[in-house]
Amino acid sequence: MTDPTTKLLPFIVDRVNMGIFVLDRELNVLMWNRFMALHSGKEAEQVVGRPVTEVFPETNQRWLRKKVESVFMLGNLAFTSWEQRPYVMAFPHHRPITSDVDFMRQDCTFMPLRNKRGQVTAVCVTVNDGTDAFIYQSQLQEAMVKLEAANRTDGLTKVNNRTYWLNRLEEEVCRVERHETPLTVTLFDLDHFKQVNDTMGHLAGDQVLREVAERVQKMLRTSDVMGRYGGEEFGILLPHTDLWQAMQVVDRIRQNIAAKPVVFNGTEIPVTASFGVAQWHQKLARVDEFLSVTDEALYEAKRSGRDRCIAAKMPYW
Amino acid sequence: MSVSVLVCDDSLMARKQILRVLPEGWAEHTTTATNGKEGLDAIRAGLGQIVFLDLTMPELDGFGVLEAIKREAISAKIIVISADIQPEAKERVMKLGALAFIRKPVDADRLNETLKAHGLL
Amino acid sequence: MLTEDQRDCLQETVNVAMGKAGDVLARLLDVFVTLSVPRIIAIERDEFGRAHNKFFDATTPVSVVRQGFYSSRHSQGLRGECILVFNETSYRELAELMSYDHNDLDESAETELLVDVTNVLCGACLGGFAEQVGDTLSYSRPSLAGRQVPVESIFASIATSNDRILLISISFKIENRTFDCTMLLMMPAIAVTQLVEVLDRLLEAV
Repeated sequence: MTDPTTKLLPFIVDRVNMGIFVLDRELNVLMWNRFMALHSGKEAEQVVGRPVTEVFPETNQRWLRKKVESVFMLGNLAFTSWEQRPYVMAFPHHRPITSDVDFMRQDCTFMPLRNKRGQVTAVCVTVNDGTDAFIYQSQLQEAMVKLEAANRTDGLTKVNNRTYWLNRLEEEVCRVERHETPLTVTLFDLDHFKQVNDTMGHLAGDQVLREVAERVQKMLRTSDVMGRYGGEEFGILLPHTDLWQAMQVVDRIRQNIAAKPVVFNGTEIPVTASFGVAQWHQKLARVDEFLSVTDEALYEAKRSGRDRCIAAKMPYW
Repeated sequence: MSVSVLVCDDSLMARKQILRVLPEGWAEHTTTATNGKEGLDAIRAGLGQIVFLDLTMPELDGFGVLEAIKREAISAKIIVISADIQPEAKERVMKLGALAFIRKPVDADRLNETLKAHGLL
Repeated sequence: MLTEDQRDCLQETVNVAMGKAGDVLARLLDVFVTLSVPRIIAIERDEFGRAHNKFFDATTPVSVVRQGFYSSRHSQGLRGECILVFNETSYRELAELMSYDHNDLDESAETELLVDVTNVLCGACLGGFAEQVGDTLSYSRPSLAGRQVPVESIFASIATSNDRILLISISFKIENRTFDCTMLLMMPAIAVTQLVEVLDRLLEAV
């Protein structure tokens, strides 16, 4: 009486909803189940006995050879994950309408098959379809990016919000303490902004803020970080920049703001800004002190006539 | 032949395993050391004509012991018994003057063969 | 969790297993691997949050790969997770040692390197361990638990349904290089019961 498992096993291996195929050391296919046939478009008869890389020339030969060889040599399971390697065999996936993915994402396992003497004679590869998981992960990542951006961006001007900018400042200060590179910060404030709001309305004020932020943002270098610090006040972190360089950069920004008026409903609104600039010094105990010193310089710029850049005076230590 | 043997290994179980597979009646006197520093002191004190030495030990490892012995030109017969089976470990050990390298867990036959091959039985 | 004798026996068994893993790594990369004495610690639930301090003193970020293992012979047998903690320079050095131009490697390829090395080390070490204790182990697929993350995060994710875990720490360093990888074998209390039986059997045989 035959054991029912013996009859069922080949059927199950053939029909199970995952790819199963077996390779010898030269990558010849020894077995090819239905999943593999369905998804590759090649029936078992067309594949068995031939090297898999010959039947599917787009497969990464060098990589597959190394992978299979490692299983033969170490005699252990090996794995691939779609998170690092999207697929081993380029198969079309089952979501041609609802997704934009190129090929089926695959998780593969490589199992050593041994003979009676315990020697590895073949490798059994299983292929699991991970396309759904990949799509969920992509959607999640997109949502996270949007959420993060919403949490750190100022709604009106689209530059970083105060919290995020302050966090970045803290990070930069830490980095600078470790690596001893120069760091400068500037705080700038639009001149007579209250007047704009009072005489032309808040919408005009908003437009001015938006446009100034945009103009300044365009002038920044990749490492610079801008944030909206207050109502009409902005901050810029200038890493790897010393005071002398910063004063030049900042003055160019000042000139750019003053150069063209902002146009709102046909009316020209001239804009200028005052800047306080300070370079981080080891002896500044905390970020608060750094900002306070910069703020004093900004105040000095206002007091001495506006539309100018003033470098901070460091306290006596 | 009556020999004095030193077993230098930080593991009690490993020391027991080695002592268990030594030929019966072969070792007249055995000393144990639980790290390289102790082992080196014992060797300097002449307590081990034949030394079974582990490599991975705290304080001073097996390589350190072999280096010190070479430096101080102490004549000692050292058989390394270790789990560190990487190819270069064996090479280094032999270059430093060890007689032989036996992998753990120590096999009685292998040990006997080694002792015979070096005329220590 | 363990008696003095059981701990010594475990340490020695792990020592042999780790030698196998070191050998595989040495051959794979053609280097000399520096091994040190494995450490064994039992960690109680209220210590999970601080446990990383026992092993790592740096605040530099690490990359972590995990792989689960379980006995394929005994249903209530040995099981746990093997976690590999790589220091910052590991990717680069591994790539160099395996003759990849590190400019050729994108983030995925670098991660795959770490995951593959984890699989190789765990397979060799746990395989070596299982062999000595007369068991056979199966493995889950390895997965990246964190890339350039703070070291606390490794232990932060320990499920508090465990009241204590046994932790074995094994370090693999490569001579003359900054590559540094710590293997943490973690077993829940329930698996330790089986482990203790196995250790007692080994102790009796000596």
